[in-house]
Amino acid sequence: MVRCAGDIAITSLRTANDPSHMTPKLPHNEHDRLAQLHALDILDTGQEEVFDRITRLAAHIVEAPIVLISLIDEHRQWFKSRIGLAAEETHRDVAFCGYAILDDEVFVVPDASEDPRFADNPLVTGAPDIRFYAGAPLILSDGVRLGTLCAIDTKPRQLTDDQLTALRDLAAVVIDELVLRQSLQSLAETNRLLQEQTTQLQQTGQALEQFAHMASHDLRAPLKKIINLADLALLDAADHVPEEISMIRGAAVELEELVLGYRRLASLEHGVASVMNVSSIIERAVESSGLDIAPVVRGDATVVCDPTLVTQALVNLLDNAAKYGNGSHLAFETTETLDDVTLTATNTVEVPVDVDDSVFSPFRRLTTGGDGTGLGLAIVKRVMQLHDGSATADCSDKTFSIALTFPKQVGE
Amino acid sequence: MIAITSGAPIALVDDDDVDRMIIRRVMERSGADNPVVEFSTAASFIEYLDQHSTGGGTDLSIALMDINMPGMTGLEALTQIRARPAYATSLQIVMLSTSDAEHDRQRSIDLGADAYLTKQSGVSNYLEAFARTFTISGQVESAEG
Repeated sequence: MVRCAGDIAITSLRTANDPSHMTPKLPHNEHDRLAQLHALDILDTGQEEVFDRITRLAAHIVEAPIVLISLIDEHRQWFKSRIGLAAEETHRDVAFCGYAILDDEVFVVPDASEDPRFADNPLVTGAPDIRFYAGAPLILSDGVRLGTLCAIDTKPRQLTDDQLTALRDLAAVVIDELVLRQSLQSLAETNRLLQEQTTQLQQTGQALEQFAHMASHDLRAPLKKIINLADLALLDAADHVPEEISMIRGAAVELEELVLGYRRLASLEHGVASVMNVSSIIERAVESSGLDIAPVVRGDATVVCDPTLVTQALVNLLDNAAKYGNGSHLAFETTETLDDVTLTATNTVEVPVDVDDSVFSPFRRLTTGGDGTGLGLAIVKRVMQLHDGSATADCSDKTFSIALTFPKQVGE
Repeated sequence: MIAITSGAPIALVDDDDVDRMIIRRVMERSGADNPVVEFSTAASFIEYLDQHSTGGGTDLSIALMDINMPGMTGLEALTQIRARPAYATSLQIVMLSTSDAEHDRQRSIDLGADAYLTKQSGVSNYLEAFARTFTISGQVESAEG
């Protein structure tokens, strides 16, 4: 670890553990201090111009041959920047800076050879022949002292008040840079994590899309076959149709609807938004549902929406009304506040439904039996999410209602 | 509408034998009495066409060809067939697919298909789709054109 290049060579580090000279006591918060120092991720990093600029400036101002940014690690002092010294680190026992971090003031030793704490220090008795030392502690905002910005000379001397002030100010700049450096590093780390997660999300999205495609093609092809073969068998054996064939067909149709519903749910995305009357969307939905149903429509308002998506959501509500409720009691009511437009679909059901948030979950079915896929309301909810709106359900007595809320302020 | 000449053979190209059987039987039920020539690969169909291309085409009325086949796909076969002078315009080709994706339909038409038919779920849906796509026109005028 001894290197003999540069202006002044250190040759006597081998005596670092020699107990004959005095060593400074440890700061009271040593454990915490080391933790904070290590958290900065600065030790054993390469040269950085921003710190070298400070040591050059300090050397110029205090007119000293050696200036160091010294960080006091557990057993060593390590130099982030150094002028006039070849060594990258020294043992902590011989470090003047070990004393300097015991106080907030600049630690000054005018003549080390006259100071009982340092007279027999190998750095004084041998190269680099330290006589003068002035170290301004590097103090974090919570008072923890990490090391010093120090100036060293080979002859006894003093600093002027201006030089002391400058050394203290430059020490504060070092701390600012250390903290800034750490912030930038953690920002970069956060950014990296964010990008990693974004990539992962994209991959998940792609996998989902692939599955949706697989589901829509690979699963549907054999289902179509089953349904068609059952049909042909039923047509051929019109008189003595085995009941099982019809049941097989029914199960295949049910599965096919589930696959189609899953694909719709996975592929829903917001298309082109336009300003629409709620009543006209209801009309469209009734028409495309193909159901013989004539809901009561009360109130009207305009909403900014993707009409195809909202029509699909309403078709699902119409389907549900026809399947589970009394379709002839279905009513749509549009109400408006300053902030939003709400379309409430109300229907009567034979058996009251237990309503909680899970009614909108995929594959949650509100009734037992029946031929629903359990995807209808999940699609409704997804459609409203794509509009920055919401879907809520309510059931009191035998009145089941779903409220769709569209915000009037549409985000960009 | 695609006109099926009554009595003229129809080619059915699909690697899936169950689908071929279903389509053949639905064709029968839709009233087409045409004989059906079946091919399980696009390559064998092209070979058949090449063998029968002397004298300016085959006596096939139409060809129904699946898009999604292992080896040469239906769309690749369509491109190759339309590149042959004998079949550049003469043979009516209807592409079949499980997919109802618009880009498959568009691609088929762009490459020279006369129609695109989605494989249906349920015989009644098939019959409806056939009725929308095909008409059966008069008898073959003479056996050898």
